[in-house]
Amino acid sequence: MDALGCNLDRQSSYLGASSIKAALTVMLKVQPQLKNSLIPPINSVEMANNLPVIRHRSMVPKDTSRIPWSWKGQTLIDAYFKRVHVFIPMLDEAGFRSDYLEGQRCDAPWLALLNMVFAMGSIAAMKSDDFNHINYYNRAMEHITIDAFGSSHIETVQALAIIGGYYLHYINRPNMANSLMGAAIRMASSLGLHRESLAQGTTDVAAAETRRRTWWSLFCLDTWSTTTTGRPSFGRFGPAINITPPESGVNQVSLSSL
Amino acid sequence: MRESAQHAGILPLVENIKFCKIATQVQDMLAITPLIRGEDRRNLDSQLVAWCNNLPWLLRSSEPCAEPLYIARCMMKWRYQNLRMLLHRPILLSIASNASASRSSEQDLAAVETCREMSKATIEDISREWARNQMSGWNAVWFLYQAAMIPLVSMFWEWNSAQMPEWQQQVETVLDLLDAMEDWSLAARRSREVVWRMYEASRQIATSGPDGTLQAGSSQGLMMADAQFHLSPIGLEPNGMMGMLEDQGFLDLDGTYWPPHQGGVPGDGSMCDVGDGIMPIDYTAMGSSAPILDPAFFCSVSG
Repeated sequence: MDALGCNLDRQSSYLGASSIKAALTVMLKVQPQLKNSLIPPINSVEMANNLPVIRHRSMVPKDTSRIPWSWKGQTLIDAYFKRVHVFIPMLDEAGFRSDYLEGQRCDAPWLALLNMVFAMGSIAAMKSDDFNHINYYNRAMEHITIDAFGSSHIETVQALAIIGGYYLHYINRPNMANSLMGAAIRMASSLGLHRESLAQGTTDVAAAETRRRTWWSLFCLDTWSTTTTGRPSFGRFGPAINITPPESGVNQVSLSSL
Repeated sequence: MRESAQHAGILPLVENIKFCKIATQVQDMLAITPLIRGEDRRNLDSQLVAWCNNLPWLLRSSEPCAEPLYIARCMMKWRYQNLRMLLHRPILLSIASNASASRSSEQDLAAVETCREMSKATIEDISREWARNQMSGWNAVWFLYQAAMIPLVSMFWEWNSAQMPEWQQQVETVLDLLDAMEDWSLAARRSREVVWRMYEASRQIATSGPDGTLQAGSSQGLMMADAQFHLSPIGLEPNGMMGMLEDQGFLDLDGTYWPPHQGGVPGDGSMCDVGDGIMPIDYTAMGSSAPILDPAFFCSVSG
């Protein structure tokens, strides 16, 4: 019997009624003799042996050199803006593209964000048997240390949003994804991204809009990945979250990234 | 605004925010109990329906459009149907698991019907709308996998129903789609295997009847490698490849600790609580005097 219990979805423990495991349980309850035909889990996947490995950060020297423009990078960025950005339009597209083109930035938040854009762009552009995204993820993570969680760079928040909201789910690390998303939301709140007054208190309209969109992108990412976990939403929405949604349509301020 | 024309600006985000506000309410209800009270479920469902009905034309249309808008509106619809399906699935599961629940209320039966409608619509829509890239395929596989559970459970439960051919057709469609999506989703192949094995098992039931015994040594049966699927049915196998597991073990529902490096260990498996045995079911809240749901339902199947 434990053959059934042992490999099923841990996460569904709080949500038995809405989980795949619950569906399987019902089938077994209705037709108990199916237990006889349970087979051990298949744990082999046909993978090549020379795959990149998720590195432990301590093993890798930090490379803070700037990333020069390349066609490859351009392709990945284009793929990101074509297939990923529409769901989480938190990047100022024109600003981002121009920074990449110039290839001068070497600050950690930028390097982390750029590499995660590469990672997602790679996923969006390639087939499922292409694992180059792992290399970009590794590079991004070199620039996100625990200290980064105490920093005040919105680009770090954006990088974490991509990592926790998408990438870690893609590589099947939902626990880590969940934790990083939580941290990203807290960072965002310490930057005041959730408050309308702070968005309006700046004359830089593009920056204010970026803040707004970043907050709401985090909100959506967290919702999508936790709705059916059976866990509380931990305050990502509530009366104190008074930043208004972005406005679409003619009333929208003219931003080049629109 | 060049990008605006391509992306429909941030219209998808605006509508996603509205959807996610409703989904957040759903989440907080589910966190209290998996079997939401009928009244609350109907309230949440009607909020979802209203959201869908109030979508701007651009997001409801199926006119040809630029790719970002296309994937955005497909995803919104799939997600919407999936959430409605999930809201109603517990009813189906609870009725199916209790053979003597002859007095399912009309509302319960309506819930089952909604659940089936949503899963059917999901399968049909995805089959037409999925695109050959991983952003589409990744989500498509997940939603298909969830949707397939409905006809599968139905086939196990009501194996001599007149709707069997319909359910079988749905599952076969899912199998075909998952096969086609293999290049565009890490999880497609294994999702397909799980669905296939359950389907094969259901067919054996159908031919041999509920008390028929399955052939010894049959390679068919339920495959239990479903652990990795939760929210992110990813096919990147941990063993030896990603090195991501370090030494994480995992706990099953009984709180039994399974040490790491068992076969089929998921990406990071420790998602449940030690003390998570029986889920408390508030029978009075369900509006019926007798429990329709065995508390053991939410535990791992006991021997």
